[in-house]
Amino acid sequence: MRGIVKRFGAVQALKGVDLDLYPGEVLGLVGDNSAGKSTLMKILTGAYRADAGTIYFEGRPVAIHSPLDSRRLGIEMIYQNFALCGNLDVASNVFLGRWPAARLLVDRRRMEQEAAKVIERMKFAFPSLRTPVETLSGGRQQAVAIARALAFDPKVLIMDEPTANLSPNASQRLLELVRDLRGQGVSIIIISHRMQEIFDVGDRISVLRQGEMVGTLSIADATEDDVLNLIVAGRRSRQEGGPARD
Amino acid sequence: MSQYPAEPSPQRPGGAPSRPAAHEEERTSRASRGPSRLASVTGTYEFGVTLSLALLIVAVSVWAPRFLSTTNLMNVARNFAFNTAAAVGEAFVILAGGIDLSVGSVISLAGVVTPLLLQYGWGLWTAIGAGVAVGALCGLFNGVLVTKAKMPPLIPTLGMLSIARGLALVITRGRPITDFGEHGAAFLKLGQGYLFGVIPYPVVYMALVIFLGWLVLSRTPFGYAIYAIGGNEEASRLAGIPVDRIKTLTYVISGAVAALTGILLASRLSVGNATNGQGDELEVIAAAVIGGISLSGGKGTVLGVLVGSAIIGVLRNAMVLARVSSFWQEVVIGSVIVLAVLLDRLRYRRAQ
Repeated sequence: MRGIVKRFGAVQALKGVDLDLYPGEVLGLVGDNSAGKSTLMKILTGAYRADAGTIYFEGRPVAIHSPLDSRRLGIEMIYQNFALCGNLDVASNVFLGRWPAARLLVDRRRMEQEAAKVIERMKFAFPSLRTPVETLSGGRQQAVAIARALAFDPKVLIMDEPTANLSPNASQRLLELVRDLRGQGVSIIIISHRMQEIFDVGDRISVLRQGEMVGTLSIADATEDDVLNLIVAGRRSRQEGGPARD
Repeated sequence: MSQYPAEPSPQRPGGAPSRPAAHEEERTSRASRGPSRLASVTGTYEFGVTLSLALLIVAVSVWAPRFLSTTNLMNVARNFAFNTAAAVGEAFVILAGGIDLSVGSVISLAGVVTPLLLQYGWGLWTAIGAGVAVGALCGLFNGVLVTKAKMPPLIPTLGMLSIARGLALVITRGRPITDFGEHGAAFLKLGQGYLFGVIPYPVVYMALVIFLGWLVLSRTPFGYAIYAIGGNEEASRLAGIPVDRIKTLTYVISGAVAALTGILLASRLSVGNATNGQGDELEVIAAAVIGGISLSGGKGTVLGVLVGSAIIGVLRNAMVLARVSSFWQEVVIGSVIVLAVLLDRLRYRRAQ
C-alpha cells in the first residue's frame, strides 16, 4: 500500500501511509487507539475507500472498491467483533455471502461438508453445524469467524485483536494456527495490543502513530521497548533525538 | 460430529474464566444436551402458534359445529388468503430488517388500475401485468429511499401509504369501478371461481405465494442473504453481500405481491374501489408478527406467517359466528397482536 490517505470530515485519519507485506510473513500492526490501524485495514478489505493512494497486490496495482473485490483477490479479514450473523447457523456463517449453490438453490450438503473440512483443519469441532451462532460461546464464535476467513484459501489474512476475547489456552492455539498458516505461505497481518504475541509469532512489526507510519522493525533485532517508544513518541529509543530511522 | 474435544475447558485451574463467557458456555452445553430433535421442535415459536391455532379450531368447532363444514372452511380460507399472500411479501421486507406500511394502499391502487385498464379495453393479462408493475414501482420507490437516501423505512413507506391511496382516489375520482370491459367475465372468475369446483382460486393463489416464498427464503442464496441482512447488516456488508440491492428488492417483492393481491381482491369483490385495501397493512403486519416474524429482522418463517394469518382468519370467523360486533372484533384482533409480541419478548428474555 502506497501513500494511503483517508479523511473523515475534517479529521485526517491516514496521512499518506505506506505498508508492505511479503508472501508468507507475519506482520504485526500496532499503534495507539485512533492511530489508524483499523482504518488502514478497512481500506485494504474494501470496507472503506481511500481518498488517495494505491494498493499493489502481487506487484500489480489493484482497485478494491468493496469487500467483494478484496475477497476475490484472496484477502480475508477476521474482525474484532467477529462480524457474524447471530441468527444464522455455523455453516451459513462460514459461507456468508458465498453460499454454494446448485441450480439456483443453496447446496446445504456441500456447504456443511466443506465447513466441516475447514473446521477440522483448524483442529476444532462443533457439536452441530446447524446451531445458530448467537447461542455459542465467544471462543466458538471466533472459531466460526476464522473458519470463514480460511474457507477460501486466502493469500492475505488480517486479524484484528484476534485474542482479545480468548482464554490464554485458546490464544495459544490461535497463535499455533497463525504459525501453521505462515508455513503454508499465507501472509498475515495481526493488529494487537498484546506485544508479547506479536513477538511470539511475528516477523516484522509496523507502527502507526496519529495516521502516519513511524517505523517498521524486524522482530529479530528489536525489543518491546523499541516498539513502545515508537508508539508513544514516534522514535525508536529515548536516547535518539531525531525521528525514527526506518 | 457429536463430541467436541478441541474446545478448551473454561474451567481452568488457577484462573476463573470471565463471567459472561462461562455463563454462555453453560447455556450452550445445556441446549446441546437436550434430549432429542423433538425438544428442539416443540421449543420453537412456530410450534407454539400452530398449537394455539389447533386449540382455537377445536374450541370453535365444538362450540359451533358448522364451522367445520367444507363451505365454511373454504370461505374462511378465501377470506384470509388475500392478507396471507400480502403478508408473505411483507415478510421479505421485515426479515431483511425493514417494514412496509404501504401494502394496504398498494392493494387499493393496483385494485383500481387493472379494472380501469380493462375498462379501456386492455387485454386481461396485460392489464394485470400493468397493475403488478405499478405495485413493483411503489416498492422500488420505498426501497431506493431506504437504501440510497438512508431513510428509516417507516418514513418512505408511510409516505407511500398516503401517495398510493391518493393516486387510487385521483384516477377513479373516488368512484368505484364495476364495469370491467369485454374481459369482465374472465376477470371476475379469478377471484370468484373454483379449482376443481372446490378450492377457491384465491386459496390456490395463496398456496402458490406461500410455496414460492418458502422456496426463495429458505433455499436460495437470495433468501439466505435476506436472513443475513436482518441478522447483522454490517457483517453482511463486510462479507460482500450487495445489501442495498437486496433490501430494495424486498420492497419491490412486497409491492408486487400486494398489487397482485389487490387485483384478485377487486375481482373477488366485483369492484375496483380506492378503499378496497384500506387498513390492510395492519392486518398484514399482524399476521407476520403473530406468525413469528421478528420485527427486528432475521427471524421467522413463511409457514409461521400462514399460521399467524390463519389465527386471525379463524378468530374473525368465530366472532362472526358468535355475532360479536365488528367494532369489538378490532379490539380483539389488536389484543391478540399485543399478546403475540409479548409472548415473543418473554421467550427471548428467558433464553437470555
